[in-house]
Amino acid sequence: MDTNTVKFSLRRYKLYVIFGPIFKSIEVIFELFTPFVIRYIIDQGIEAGLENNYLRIIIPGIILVLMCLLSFGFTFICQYLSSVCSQGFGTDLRNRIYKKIATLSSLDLEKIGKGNLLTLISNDTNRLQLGIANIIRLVVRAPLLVVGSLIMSIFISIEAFLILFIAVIIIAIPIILIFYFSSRQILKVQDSIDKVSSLSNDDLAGTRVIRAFNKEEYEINKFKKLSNQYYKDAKVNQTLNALVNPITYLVLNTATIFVVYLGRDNIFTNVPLSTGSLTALIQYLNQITTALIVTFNVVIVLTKAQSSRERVNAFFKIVPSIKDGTIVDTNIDYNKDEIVKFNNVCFKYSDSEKNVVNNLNFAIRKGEKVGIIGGTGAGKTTIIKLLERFFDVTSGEILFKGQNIKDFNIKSLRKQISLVSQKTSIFNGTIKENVLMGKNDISDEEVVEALKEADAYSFVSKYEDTINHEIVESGKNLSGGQKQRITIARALIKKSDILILDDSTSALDFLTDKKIRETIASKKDLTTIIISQRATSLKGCDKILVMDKGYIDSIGTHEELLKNSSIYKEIYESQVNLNG
Amino acid sequence: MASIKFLFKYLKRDLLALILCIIFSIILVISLTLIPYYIGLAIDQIDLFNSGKILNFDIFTFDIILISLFIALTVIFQFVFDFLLGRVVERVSKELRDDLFLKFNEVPISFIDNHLKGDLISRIVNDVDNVNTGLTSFFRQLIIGIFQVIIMIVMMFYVNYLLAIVVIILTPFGFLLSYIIAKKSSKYYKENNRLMGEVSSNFLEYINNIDVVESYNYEEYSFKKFNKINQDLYKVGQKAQLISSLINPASRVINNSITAVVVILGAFIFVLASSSGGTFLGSTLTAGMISTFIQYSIQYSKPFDAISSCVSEAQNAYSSLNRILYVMDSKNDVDNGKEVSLKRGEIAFNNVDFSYDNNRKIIDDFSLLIKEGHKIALVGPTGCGKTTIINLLLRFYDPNKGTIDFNKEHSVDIKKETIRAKFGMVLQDTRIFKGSVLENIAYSKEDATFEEIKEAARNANCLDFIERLPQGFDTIISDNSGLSVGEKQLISIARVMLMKPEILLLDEATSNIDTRTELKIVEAINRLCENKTSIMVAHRLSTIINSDFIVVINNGKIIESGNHKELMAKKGFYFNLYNAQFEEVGIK
Repeated sequence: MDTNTVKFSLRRYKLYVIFGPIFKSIEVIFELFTPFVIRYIIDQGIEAGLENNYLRIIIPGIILVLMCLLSFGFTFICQYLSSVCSQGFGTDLRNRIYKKIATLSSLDLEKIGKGNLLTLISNDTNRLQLGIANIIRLVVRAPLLVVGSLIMSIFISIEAFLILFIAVIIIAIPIILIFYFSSRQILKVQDSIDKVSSLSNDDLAGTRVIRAFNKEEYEINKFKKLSNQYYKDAKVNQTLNALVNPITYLVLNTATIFVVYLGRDNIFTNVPLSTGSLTALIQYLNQITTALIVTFNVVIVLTKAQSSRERVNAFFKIVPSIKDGTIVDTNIDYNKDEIVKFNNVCFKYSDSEKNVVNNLNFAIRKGEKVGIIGGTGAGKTTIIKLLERFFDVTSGEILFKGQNIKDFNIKSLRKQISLVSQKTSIFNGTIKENVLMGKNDISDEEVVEALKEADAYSFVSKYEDTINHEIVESGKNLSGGQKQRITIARALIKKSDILILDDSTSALDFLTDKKIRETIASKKDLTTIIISQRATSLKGCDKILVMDKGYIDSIGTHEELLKNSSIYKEIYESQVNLNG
Repeated sequence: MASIKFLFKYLKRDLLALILCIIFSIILVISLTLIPYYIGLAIDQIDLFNSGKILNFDIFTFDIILISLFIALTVIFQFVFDFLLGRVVERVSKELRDDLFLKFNEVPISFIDNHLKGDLISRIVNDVDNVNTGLTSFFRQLIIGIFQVIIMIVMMFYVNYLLAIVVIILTPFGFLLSYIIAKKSSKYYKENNRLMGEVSSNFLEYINNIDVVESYNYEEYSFKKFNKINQDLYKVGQKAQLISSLINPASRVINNSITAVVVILGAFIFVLASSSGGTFLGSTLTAGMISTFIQYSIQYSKPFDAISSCVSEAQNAYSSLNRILYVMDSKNDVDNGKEVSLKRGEIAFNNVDFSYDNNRKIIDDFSLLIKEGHKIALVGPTGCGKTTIINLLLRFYDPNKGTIDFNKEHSVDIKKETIRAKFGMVLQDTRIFKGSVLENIAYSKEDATFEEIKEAARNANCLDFIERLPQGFDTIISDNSGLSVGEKQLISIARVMLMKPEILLLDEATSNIDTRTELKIVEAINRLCENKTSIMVAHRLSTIINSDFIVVINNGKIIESGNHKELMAKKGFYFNLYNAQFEEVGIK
């Protein structure tokens, strides 16, 4: 069995799904008998009452009330089962989506879209949850009420049954049509209001630009177009909704007239109906109508749940674009001159035409300090992402310790690489938690040590609770530089073979930047890759890769590059401006 | 009250339709209530003890005809009512939305600066929606509901006062019960929503940082954190769901019990009345009327539910209406300026004072003459007032004291549009509108050819990166579509390159672009505005060294000015600023 489906998540709750509806059915049966008892009171009870025998009114009366109470009891059990089952199911599903994401790369996630992922775990899961609750609570109840009422009417008279049956069909057809169209219309309405809202957002956030370019009129016209579309869609939806009640009334009450006529004389069997029977039939008709409307509402909920189910299933079916390798032990013998080697590496996004990086060839020695420099969008970060296997090369190969990185178990590979990325990722939790990232075999002293090395302890120690200080809202209360220093400490404590700093000191002042660089330079065994836009930050590197438009322009030391690389020279001069 | 008056302005145009709605609703309610009554009457024409025998055939037929008539009336007026009301309400909503949006473009920039963006958007989307819902339910639930209750009470007393009293007394119990349950469940739902929010934000943190999560093998630990919230959500959600799912069964049990009581009592009244000569405690009842009463007792509770849900919706709508009114009542941006033909020329700041909040002076006695064709640079520490000067130049704000003159013409006497049309600007908050790259660049010149746009992109040094996007110039981008700040700045610069403005304004426009590309862009800009005036705010001094005139600002005042050489010779503020930057790149 395919374990990656919504169905699978429901398996744990099989018993709930079976027993919930059973209890619900008992309630329905009580409800179905109620009109019968009322009929008895009117037909038999009154007649007996007139002969001073009140028992025939009182006893069925008590039965009526008892049935009410009992049916509430059974419903309660059903609602309880349904809440445990559907909420439990939703909780499991959320956990499974969360875990599945861990197997995907950020590129995979970008393809799905972050908004869609959030929808998956919130709206879609909620809808499925609601769908399951409805299946248990209503899917049996509503149709059973309809069918049951029809069956009960057979006992009253076959003609009554026929009238009710025809009424059900006549009510059902237009309502199905209306619900069908309106459920599609609702999507349209939702879509057009989303557009209205996103344009408003653009307009408000860009007020200055809009006014600066004198584009108010243009934006207002754009808005009016969207708002008109919304108006049109909403009107259609309105009209559809306005049809539901009248049509239902029409059929229901016309059927009632026919039923009343049955009391007169009976066209087929010549057995006229009693007053009690008529009362009972009218009640059945009412029950049927209410139940039908509920049924269609349930159908809508289920259709929505169905599309959510398809989305969730499609998500579970996504095959991670990165295939895991088998080498777990990274303590392997290798040529120390080549801890990392890029052979003719090219990469492009699957739907793009142009390569992001082209024919990258270079090797990094163990313990070497390597700098990468280049303009905005030159492909510097792509090199890192390829090395971390956030995505795989389109052609060529990358070797780590002499082995193709694709052969390594991803977790083991990443354990050997500490990355401090451009974007500082701070999680809600304490500073210590942010440094440790889930590791539990490290003492507080070591955490403090790492923070000191990253020059972060100077501000951490100012908190009363130092490393146990709680960071809220992704570090809103920290400055950019403070966040960068925490992420550097995080990388240092990981103690891996390779340390990568991807433009990660940009928010630090010169002195701090230099101090951290010196600390890192003193770690002789640590292979370090530093990406920076500041030529001066890379001056001390063993070698510097100059990137330009996806190509390696040149490789060399600072002095060599100043001589040989015009690009490097331009970069350097744009920053130090020697003729000033 | 002002807000009701405000809403009435919108409703006025459809007043006739609304009055018709009320008339229709009365007809609708009366015919709706009479149907069960006449069905009861028809049933009564059937002999209770002699099935099939019709007592009076003419009356029976008459009743049936009346029932059919009432059905027809109900159906027609129900539809016309809903249809008409829907039209009116949707039109009002649309007009509210359009007017709000229009207003957002008419208020002073300060209004938008002083409000949260999300809050304003919610006024245009959610608040209008709330008014829509409130209006609809006011007419559909409240007005119809009240009519229904009144007419039903009249009918019930007319049929049998004893049963009427019983139904009227018992019904509130069901109502009370579901109210108590609803209150309890709303408490849990609030908690449920809070936890759902926590789940979402935890999840967002996770997917936004997935690179770090994966590269630090943080998956399991972060899952543990997630699961903890998720389990809390389960506990609360399960209770919320259970309790709320009891509302319907609970009111069902009460209503069914009321029906049972009506039947039992009805049967007794019938029996006792018959045995005591037709009336019991002054009331009569027939078998048909018992059937009628069963229908009434079922229907009677419904308008109460409707009215109660309407009350909260009306409250919502009222507060939303006030929020809308707050925007609509705010003052429009005043522009007393005339359309003057602004020829090229000089711009002069004469003793300008400015403060955003009448409290702290941002610009203090600021005087500056910008000669035609000059390249001016504004420098100074963060918060010194550089951006405010740009705001004043473009008339986003006007000076509190002093004047800004374009060719000796006071800026406040010139139409904002006229001034802004002169400037091409790249502002600090780069703005990408949802649309293709092409549309975003052509924003400054709608009729630009593709060649012109391409040329502009090339000049702004962004052609290369645009061509590497998945669909090149046709790639749909938006403010949060994954472009880096630097890339957004490049596109904004291309926008201005395309416009070829007379005066160029750059407010830290290249702050996130690498220095080498920046230099190239500055060169291209200089080519573009040869002999034109340009005003540049920059934090990297290397880009402004070649300016004709550098103005050093601190605390809203000019403290030094001159060209680069003169300022360096002064060995003052600029000198220190310049040297500090070199220190930063490690030269000193």
